[in-house]
Amino acid sequence: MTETSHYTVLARRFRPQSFGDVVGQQHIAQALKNAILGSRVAHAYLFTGARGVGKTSTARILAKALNCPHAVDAVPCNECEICTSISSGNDVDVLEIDGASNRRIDDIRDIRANVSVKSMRSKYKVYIIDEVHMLTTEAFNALLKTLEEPPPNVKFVFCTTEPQKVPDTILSRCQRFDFSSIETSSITERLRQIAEAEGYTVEDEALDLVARRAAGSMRDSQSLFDQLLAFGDSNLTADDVHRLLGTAGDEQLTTAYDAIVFRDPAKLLECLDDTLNSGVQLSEFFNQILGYTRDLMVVAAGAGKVSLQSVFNSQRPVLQEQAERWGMETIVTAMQILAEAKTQMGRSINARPIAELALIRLCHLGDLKTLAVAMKALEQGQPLMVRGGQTGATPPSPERTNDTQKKSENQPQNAVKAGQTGRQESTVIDLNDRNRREFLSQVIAKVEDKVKLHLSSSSESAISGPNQLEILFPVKYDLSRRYCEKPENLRLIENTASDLAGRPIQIRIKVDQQAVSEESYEPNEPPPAERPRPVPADLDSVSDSLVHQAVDLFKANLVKVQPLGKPSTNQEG
Amino acid sequence: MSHWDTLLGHDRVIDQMKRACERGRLSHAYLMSGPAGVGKKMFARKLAQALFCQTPETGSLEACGHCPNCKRFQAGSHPDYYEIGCPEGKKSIPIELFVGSDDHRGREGLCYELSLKPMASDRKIAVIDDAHLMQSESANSLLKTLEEPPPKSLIVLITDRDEAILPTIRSRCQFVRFQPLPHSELVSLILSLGYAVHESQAEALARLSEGSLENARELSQGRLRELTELVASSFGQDRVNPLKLVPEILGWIESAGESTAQRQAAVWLLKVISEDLRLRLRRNVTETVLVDNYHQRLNRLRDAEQQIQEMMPIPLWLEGLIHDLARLSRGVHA
Repeated sequence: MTETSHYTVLARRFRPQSFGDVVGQQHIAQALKNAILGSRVAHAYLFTGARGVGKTSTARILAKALNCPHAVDAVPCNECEICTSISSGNDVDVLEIDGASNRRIDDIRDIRANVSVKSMRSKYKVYIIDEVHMLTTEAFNALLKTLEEPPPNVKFVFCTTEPQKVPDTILSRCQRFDFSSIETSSITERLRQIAEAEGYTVEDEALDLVARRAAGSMRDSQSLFDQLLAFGDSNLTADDVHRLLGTAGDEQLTTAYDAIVFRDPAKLLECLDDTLNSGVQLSEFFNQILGYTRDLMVVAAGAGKVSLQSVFNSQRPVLQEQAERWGMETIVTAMQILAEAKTQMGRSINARPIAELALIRLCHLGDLKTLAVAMKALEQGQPLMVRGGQTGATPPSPERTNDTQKKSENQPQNAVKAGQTGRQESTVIDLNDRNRREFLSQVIAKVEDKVKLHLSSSSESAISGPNQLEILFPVKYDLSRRYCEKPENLRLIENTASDLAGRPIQIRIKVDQQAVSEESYEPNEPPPAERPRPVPADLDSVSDSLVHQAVDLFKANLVKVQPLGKPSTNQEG
Repeated sequence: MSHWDTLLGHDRVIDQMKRACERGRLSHAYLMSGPAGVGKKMFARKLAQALFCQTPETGSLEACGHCPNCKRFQAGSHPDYYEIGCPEGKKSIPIELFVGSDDHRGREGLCYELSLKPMASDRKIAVIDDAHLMQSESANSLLKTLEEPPPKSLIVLITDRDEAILPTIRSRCQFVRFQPLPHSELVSLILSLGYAVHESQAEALARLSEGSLENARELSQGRLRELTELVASSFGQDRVNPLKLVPEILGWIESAGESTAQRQAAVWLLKVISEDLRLRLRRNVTETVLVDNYHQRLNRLRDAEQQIQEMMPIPLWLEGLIHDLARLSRGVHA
């Protein structure tokens, strides 16, 4: 095989050639154009931004606009010899330097030595240093003096993807332009133009996929598109794009996520296997799941105008349903699990276990939505409705899935109602034994400042009679106790408490003997071991009729029978 | 008869490449990614040979095998072909290979060679193996050449960890993905390379090696299977006995050879354990407690991976790892 005509990739053939062509950077193009028209061109520019957004292209256009003898209104002719040689990067007066390959101080010394040599045929001598972040510190410093006061008609343009690596002393000598990522719609538009110019028909969805995948980089999109044109059929569809990228289609994604949201790990793994067997790459799929979670977050936040990253907009209703089922809190937690797993996958030799585990953990996520509602209710001073036997700490296992779903349907509404009433009645809180702690903290919050600090050192409260509240102070805070005991202060507290409860409340101040001992032990003491659940004893084996009557009377479970006279540890309940 | 016939299992990629060539749309830069040991480098070499071949009637992207260019290429002495990779004993591809040493900066290295006119054919081709081992200096020094190389040159980057490739590099390349080798192809490859004698052996080997010939070669030495069985049987029990297990595994690692080989063996151990863990997890997906437990164990394995890279002494490393795993698996019945 000898004569294949040389092919130039799209990204190079469709490089913008004038300020008007640069997609998505209109503000920068306009600023540079104005500078040229107003003869206010700075001697040093720094162009920063992600890969493939037009930094090098803009630098070349700037050089052309400055040097092209036929330029009208800062629009170069792109036909003369100067323009073409700048476009190909080998003009005598526009020196395009690869900063990463020529990063040493010696390379910069060469530039300095030649800077004062006058330009050969054009008006300006332009140095374009690409990948400037790779220069060594010495090289940067060697450049400083030249950069501050270059000879007339010398312009510097630095391009970099990593401005944080450029020293401040360089930054302060340059006019900096930050190139933004290009919007998906602009990329789609540009790709459509290219497809037309190349004579291909491409589905809109396929274009959209490519543009989305490029994540704001025009060159990424063009490289991908190039490949699609080279490998694909004459009529390109969304499926072709998925096959090329090794990504999953919308349907595969939503099915997988349905399994997650419905807490069905077995089905999820099935989905995963099917997807991977159909040629989808694990890392791509995982990224898509991450993107999907982000989309769920967008939907859950109610941002109807923000476009979706992972799926087409037509899937929005599906996402809406999933987001409602899951709730924002769960989505955010899922996002954290996935993001953590993703960084681990990047570093690990064996990514699959990490990915699978992360996905399964998503299935096991507890119902955080109800938890958040409950927290809110707690904050607003409402007693929590604890459901029989279920402690919230462990997420429900899938055997209880049905139960959990019912719960998530019922509980939030109850809890929301509770939260609302709490807000309305916040001025009046009934004092009873259950909420006395809450009551006390409300009193502390409402009482006058001079008492507040001392009162907040109280350790415990107790209801010692109708409309009588005892406030206990640890011995350590005896000073606070005595302060609160002063009649005028005591009255203040009583007034606040009475206002709060809606009826007169008497306050007693006392020393809390228990708190002393507790406090001194607390730091060292291990958390108390969980007391074993009492095992019910066999009632029939007990002959005492009194016990039978007692059990009947209290509807109790019998645990232990102990004759009187010994210390009893009976527990009946 | 095509010179592609010896490359098994990648018909799709070959077809794509041929189609691109027929349409005259061959890019100047490809990033070839896929698991280790599936034939990426072989593909790159065949592609290069086909592009160098001077016999026009062989059809698109085929090599005749007897023209001067093919002969030179097969002898490994084609003057327009460059292949660089990670030098022996180094952890990364040094920048010198791209732009030359300090004394000859810009006058040797891959970027310089590409800028010269081709000698024996009409193009220059460069292959960079293990491209993920380019450090940021090396990778950045390639960027300008990669974006606008001299006409008719081709740069192929090969990697099995494409997520470690700089986005600026990736954005300039067309991405070619290699799938794991299909089972039947792998079996015939194993047989033809003599990794296994009987077909049944080859079948078993192919199942374990996850579509990678490299894995198959490792596995064929029998040592790895020994380890897989050891891990599966010991972690399958309720109680892992570290006192018994550690010396066994340590013996296995130390018999691998000198230090570098031992570390490689240690990495294999991690792979085997985490794969074992994955299969166990798949059988117990509904128990929250278990899932949490697996999460802890997997995290421990990841730490171990980090530690082995940081050159922690292997006996210490192994002892800590196995004891922790044993502790974590205690009381968990699975």
